Amino acid sequence: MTGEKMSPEAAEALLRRFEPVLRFTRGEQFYPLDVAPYVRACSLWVQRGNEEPVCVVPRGDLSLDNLAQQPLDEFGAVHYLRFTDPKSFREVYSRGAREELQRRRRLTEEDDKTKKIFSTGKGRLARVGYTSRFADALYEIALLARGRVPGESTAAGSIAYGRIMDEGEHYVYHGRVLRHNGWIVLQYWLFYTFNDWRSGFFGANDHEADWEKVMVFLSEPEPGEFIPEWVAYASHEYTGDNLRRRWDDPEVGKVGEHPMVYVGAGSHASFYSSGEYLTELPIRLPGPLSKATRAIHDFWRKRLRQYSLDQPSTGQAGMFTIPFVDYARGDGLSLGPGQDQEWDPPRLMQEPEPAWVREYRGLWGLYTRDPFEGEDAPAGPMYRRDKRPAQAWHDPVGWAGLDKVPTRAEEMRIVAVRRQQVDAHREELRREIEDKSLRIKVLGIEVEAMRGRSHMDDPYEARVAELEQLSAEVVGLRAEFATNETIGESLGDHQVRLKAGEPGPLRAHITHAHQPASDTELRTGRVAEAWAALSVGLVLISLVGIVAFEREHLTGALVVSIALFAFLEAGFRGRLTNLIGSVNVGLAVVSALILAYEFFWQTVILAVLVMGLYVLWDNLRELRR
Amino acid sequence: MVDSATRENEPDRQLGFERVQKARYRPARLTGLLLILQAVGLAAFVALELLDLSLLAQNGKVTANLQQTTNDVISLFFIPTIVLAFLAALSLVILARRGWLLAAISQGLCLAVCLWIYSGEGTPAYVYPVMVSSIVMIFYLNSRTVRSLFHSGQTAIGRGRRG
Repeated sequence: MTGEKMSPEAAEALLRRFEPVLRFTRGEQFYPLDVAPYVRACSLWVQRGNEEPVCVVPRGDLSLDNLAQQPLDEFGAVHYLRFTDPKSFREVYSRGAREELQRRRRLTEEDDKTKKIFSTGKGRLARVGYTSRFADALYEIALLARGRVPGESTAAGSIAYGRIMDEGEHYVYHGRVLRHNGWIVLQYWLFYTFNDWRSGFFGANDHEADWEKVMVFLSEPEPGEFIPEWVAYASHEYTGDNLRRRWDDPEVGKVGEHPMVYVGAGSHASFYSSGEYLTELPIRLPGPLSKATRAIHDFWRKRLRQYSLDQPSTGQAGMFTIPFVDYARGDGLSLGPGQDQEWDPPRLMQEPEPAWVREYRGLWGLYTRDPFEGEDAPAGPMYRRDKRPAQAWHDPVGWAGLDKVPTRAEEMRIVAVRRQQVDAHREELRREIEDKSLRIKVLGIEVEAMRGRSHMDDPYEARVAELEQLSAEVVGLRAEFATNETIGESLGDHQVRLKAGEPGPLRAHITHAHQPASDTELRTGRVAEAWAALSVGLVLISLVGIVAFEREHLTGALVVSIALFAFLEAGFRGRLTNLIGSVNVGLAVVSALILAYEFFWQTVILAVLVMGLYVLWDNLRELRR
Repeated sequence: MVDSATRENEPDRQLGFERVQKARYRPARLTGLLLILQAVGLAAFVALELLDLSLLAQNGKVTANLQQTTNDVISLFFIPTIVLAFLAALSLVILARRGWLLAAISQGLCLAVCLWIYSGEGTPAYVYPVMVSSIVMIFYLNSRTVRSLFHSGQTAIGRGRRG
């Protein structure tokens, strides 16, 4: 799939021509840098099964060269780097370290124009409902039991990162250019020493090391002529069509030929527009429960034609989600050509790939043994955490959902070829239909001639069977012919549009675009925010209180308290209408069950009577016509 | 020629537009009508029940205490339902958006009272037909045809026909 190689000079020139502009959020502490000084500041460890981790290469002895020379280990062994040292955590609380952190903060603030630091804005919990808040509370509690990055790591990481930068390091990306499936793919791999989304910005996780990527897809209609057609920004674990945007999409901001990326604070996820994004971490329900939820949802919407807020396309039925906010405000440091800080020349990862990319399959930071993997460091660009090949490296076109999209130069040729194929197939179908129709006529005449002749019953039966089979085949062929004709016409129209230079709809490929919160959504009163923060705890405490002190009126007290919380919640979130609708439906279902239980036979008789009357009315109406 | 033809067709177009509008608002008016019927029926049931109880009390067959309790239940919960249903019906007839909410609250309240009475001892017979009518109304109010009329992004019905 990969075509001829590109020289390092040509690759670097292309990378620099379209290198992205990164806009960070105020309060961000970590920026993209070269992996070499990071690795030098790390130690290498291996975790084998349930044994204590073993240090393989101590801090100071590690480099990109010996990182790639690690021997293979037993099944289940995990190699990982350690950037922050637990022994240095005490140092975090020392006076010197505090002064160092303050100095770094002052430096950042002096760079800023307005000297403001990060503030959260509207809380994430005020944006979602009770179910998500309960799931969130469980998630937070689970963190205590799960493996996680120690609390001091962020500060220690920040100090260690500061030391690297003070040694003359600068802002760097790792670049790779490859030809893949007709496209020229520019890969910008961004390495951060730390992801402090959880501890710094109330996000889902913290982890040492972070690999993010931005890709630009070029076509080459003539040798040496490069046209940018698509971009794709990595955002958490998402892949496919929703990740990419067409180059001429107004959502893709540009500085000259440089696409603009808004980077999520702490998470370093990439976004096309500035704003605050609600990222919902899905937790799937067990299979049968999920299926049942979907079935009920479909029955409700399709069969009963009842109103429902959930759209089927989002696929949210049958799963819990935990809400987190990605703050990609773009009000912090701007990095890239003509910005606050410029990129250093890229570190190339052209074929043959550097040994540290190809050979090191371990994690690039602390391995916490988190079963959800959110707190574990990521693997390198080429591999996933489980050491399997990463799609973004091996199949970037598929990763961005572009495998079904030809370049514009290819498109005309493919449409023309396909049209010829369709026309040729239609001609074949026409001939086949003619031949079989003739055969049907012949068989029909034979059957007619043999009818009623008792000595010819066997050949008669055989011909009747053949006639039926052929007739069915011809019906199928005619349907295929008609479909083929329509496809041919559509391809013709598409060809005309392409010749006229119309590139087609901009965003037809996007099924679920990630949009920042609107101004209206961000406008919430302090009382609503306070309610969002307190409500889950209050619900649980009141439930315990009722069970402990109101046992005599348990059901009534529970119903009243739940109704009260639900109404308050709906009022704050402006969803009173939906709540009343849902409560009513619940009451109606319960009442219907009671009626069915109390008047089962009467209901059956009534239903039969109604059906009988309807049939009578319908038939009489037909008679009158 | 064109202008005069357009002018001649104008009344027809106007008539067509009015017909479409009428058809569009039919579910709202139908809901209003059903609510009035339901409220009248419910009021009749309540009146009959009260009359029945007072007759029984006059004959000394029901203790004054029990009669008082039953009257309280009926007057406390069904009477607001009837009032709400009438208000909702009026709102729907003048095509006000809040009519749907009032109608939904009245139906929910009505069913809740029915279920509460059912959970006690000796359910009166009139509770069941009231339950049936409320169930039908709830599903009708929640149907996409009716809800989309009131609650789509750009609501068909605003604060009234003029608004």
